[in-house]
Amino acid sequence: MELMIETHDLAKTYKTADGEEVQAVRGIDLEIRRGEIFSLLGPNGAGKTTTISMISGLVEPTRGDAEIGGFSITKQPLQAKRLMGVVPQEIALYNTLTGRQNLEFFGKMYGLRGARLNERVDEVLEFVGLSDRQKDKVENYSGGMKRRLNVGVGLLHKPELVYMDEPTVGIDPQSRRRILDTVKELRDERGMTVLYTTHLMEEAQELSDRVGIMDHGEIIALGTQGELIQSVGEEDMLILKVGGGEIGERLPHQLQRDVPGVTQVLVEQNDKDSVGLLKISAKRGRKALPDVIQLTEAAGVEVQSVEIREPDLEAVFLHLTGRALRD
Amino acid sequence: MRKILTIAWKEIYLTFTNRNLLIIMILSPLAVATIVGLAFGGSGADDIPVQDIPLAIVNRDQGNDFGVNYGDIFISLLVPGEEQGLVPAENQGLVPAQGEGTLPACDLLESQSSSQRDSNVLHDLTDSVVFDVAAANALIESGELDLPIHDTSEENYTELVAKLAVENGTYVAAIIIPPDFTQRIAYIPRFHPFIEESGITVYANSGSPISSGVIHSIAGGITQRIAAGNITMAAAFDELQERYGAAALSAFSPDDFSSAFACAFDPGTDLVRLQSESVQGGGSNDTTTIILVAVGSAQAMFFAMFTAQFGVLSMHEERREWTLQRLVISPTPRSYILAGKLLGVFVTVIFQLLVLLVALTLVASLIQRELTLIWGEDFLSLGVLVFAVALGVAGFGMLLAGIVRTAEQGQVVGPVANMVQGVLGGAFGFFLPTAIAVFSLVYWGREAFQSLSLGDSDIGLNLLVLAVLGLIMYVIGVILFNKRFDF
Repeated sequence: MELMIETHDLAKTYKTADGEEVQAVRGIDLEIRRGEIFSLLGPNGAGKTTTISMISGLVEPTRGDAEIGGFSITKQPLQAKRLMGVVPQEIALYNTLTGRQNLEFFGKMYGLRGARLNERVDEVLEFVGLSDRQKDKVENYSGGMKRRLNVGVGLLHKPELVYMDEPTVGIDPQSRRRILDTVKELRDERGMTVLYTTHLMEEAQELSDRVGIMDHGEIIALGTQGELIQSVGEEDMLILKVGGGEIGERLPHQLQRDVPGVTQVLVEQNDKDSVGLLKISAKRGRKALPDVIQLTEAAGVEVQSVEIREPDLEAVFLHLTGRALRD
Repeated sequence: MRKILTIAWKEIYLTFTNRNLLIIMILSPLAVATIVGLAFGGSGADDIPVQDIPLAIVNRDQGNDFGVNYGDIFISLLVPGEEQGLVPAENQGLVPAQGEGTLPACDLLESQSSSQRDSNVLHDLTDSVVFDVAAANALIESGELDLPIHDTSEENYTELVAKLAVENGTYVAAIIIPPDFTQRIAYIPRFHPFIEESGITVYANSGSPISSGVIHSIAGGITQRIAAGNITMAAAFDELQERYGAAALSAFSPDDFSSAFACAFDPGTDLVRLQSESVQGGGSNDTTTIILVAVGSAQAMFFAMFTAQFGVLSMHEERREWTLQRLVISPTPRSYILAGKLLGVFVTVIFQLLVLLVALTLVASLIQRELTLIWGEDFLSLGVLVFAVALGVAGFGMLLAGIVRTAEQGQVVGPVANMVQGVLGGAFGFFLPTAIAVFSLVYWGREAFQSLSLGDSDIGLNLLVLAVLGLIMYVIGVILFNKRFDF
């Protein structure tokens, strides 16, 4: 399988204001195949954006290199950049220009001119559903429209590779759905490679051919969803919504020790009187459920509802880090 | 190159579609300059706003063999009679005696002598003294001047002392009349039948540009009148000689011609306009123009600095908005992005300056009720000056962009730095001593605009300072910016 992105020991170290060194990315080796959607999944601060910034040539790596379609991003940056379109997490548009003017300006930055530029701008406006608003200033667009135009700019020059850095942050469900469909369309109909970063497990699950899970600047797991879930084993996740008492530290230990099949227990409760969550990884979860409920209530904690989840990427992350993805 | 132009065009487009920015760029300096110009210059007031300008007249003119001394005309017009100490007028060849006056008298003006008509206005405008050796010595002995070694017999002693007195602020200006002034420009039939180029020097304190401008105008008016008188006489004599032959005219002595051409020499006939306009309420337009030039040019530079800073500092803003990152991610070298941005700023500043120069010309023309080219007629030098000013302020903007780390820091540091430059350079209608003002780009620009306005194209030093300082600041700014700019 032909590779679109290949990184070798890619690392970035920042210096804080007090002179302290922070390792944002700790030497990543990554291979992304041509025509696949690859998701980098991880909590905020895991190093996803820094990784994508290095691969796109925005940030210079402290160590290592990345090749895009065979071109080194540090040694042949312009050739490498021509192959890629970038959709940043931020709405990177000029607010006082119209939607069309934004596309024309950035199109020119990718070398498009004249009739070809006009044609591509029309196509992209159509693709992101903004043809009828093309002459409006971006400052008058809704959040979802801005997001779609933000995506459109990244697709203008028909790149072979598109980076999308959390492109659905802060938008309404309808716009979010539209963007996710767009991503799938880019792969299925246009054969583009998509590198997608998100902290939302559902998005990664829906879109990805393969997933890399990042935490503390490292890729801690990589593979297809099936492969990753298999690595967790046949564990279900029992999610108990609890209230009316402090969960404390004793109950999780007790559950892990006394209930057969329970491998991990995670507590999410802000204070002792608030409603909280008990997330329990357990082999054959349905069988373990009665014992779990009994012990919980015996500890003085009221169980309000129960959910049983098949193994998913969240469970994988929990299994690997002992923390929830949204922590 | 196309990408640089595309980025520059985007900058210009964003600037000129921003209504608020346009108000700051064009309307604010125009309004300030016009208000200051009208307030201090007057637009129809019947008073003379600039009065008692301290002026030293160094008359080194030795006259000619016929007793003519044009240098004395300056003294007789500017210095009150009792302080003149001139040689009696009847002994001065071309100047016939007329009571106590020492000016060339024109018989056509019957009501009063020219000196009487003009002296009141000029005496009000200036506080002039004849600056001779005695005046120079008195000034040194009073301790007002520090001139440790001096030789009173030195040929240019009075000139040297007068210049020092201007520099230390005792006088706003000194009119220095060279020894051969009369000899060179006086037309004497048969004896000096031609006119040679000559000139007087107005040595002015740049810390008082308005008063200096007034003195420059007065001196220019008197000089032109003297030259015009000689040209008139020469033309008339040539015509008479052609009609009646040289032999017929040889019977006349130069003195005979002098009385016949007295009106042509009488500076008062030229200066009547100054007096009558003042009396009728239309005067002081020249002062308004001078103030418009001084304050307008300084204001134009002051606001051009803001434009340059807004432009260059917008890189920090673009970084915050992520549009800069989007540009960096595109296949465009970073140097192109910076060059495009700065080209946009540079063109915007030039455009802003040109619009302001034209607008101030229109304001002055409206006040004068006729087209008045307040920036002079040397358009080439004016164009070069605008270019140098744009280089200077763009360089200053780049330096600030390099020093600050964020747009917010720039919004604090930038205006403070501009205010300092503006105050030092005289952008607000008051002018600090040259020794301090030279540290401001505004000073160098303003002084050059004023020189051009007065017809003096000797602005090489100003251009050099503006361009070189601009380039140095630009290079330092780019280095700092590249060093600090990180995504």
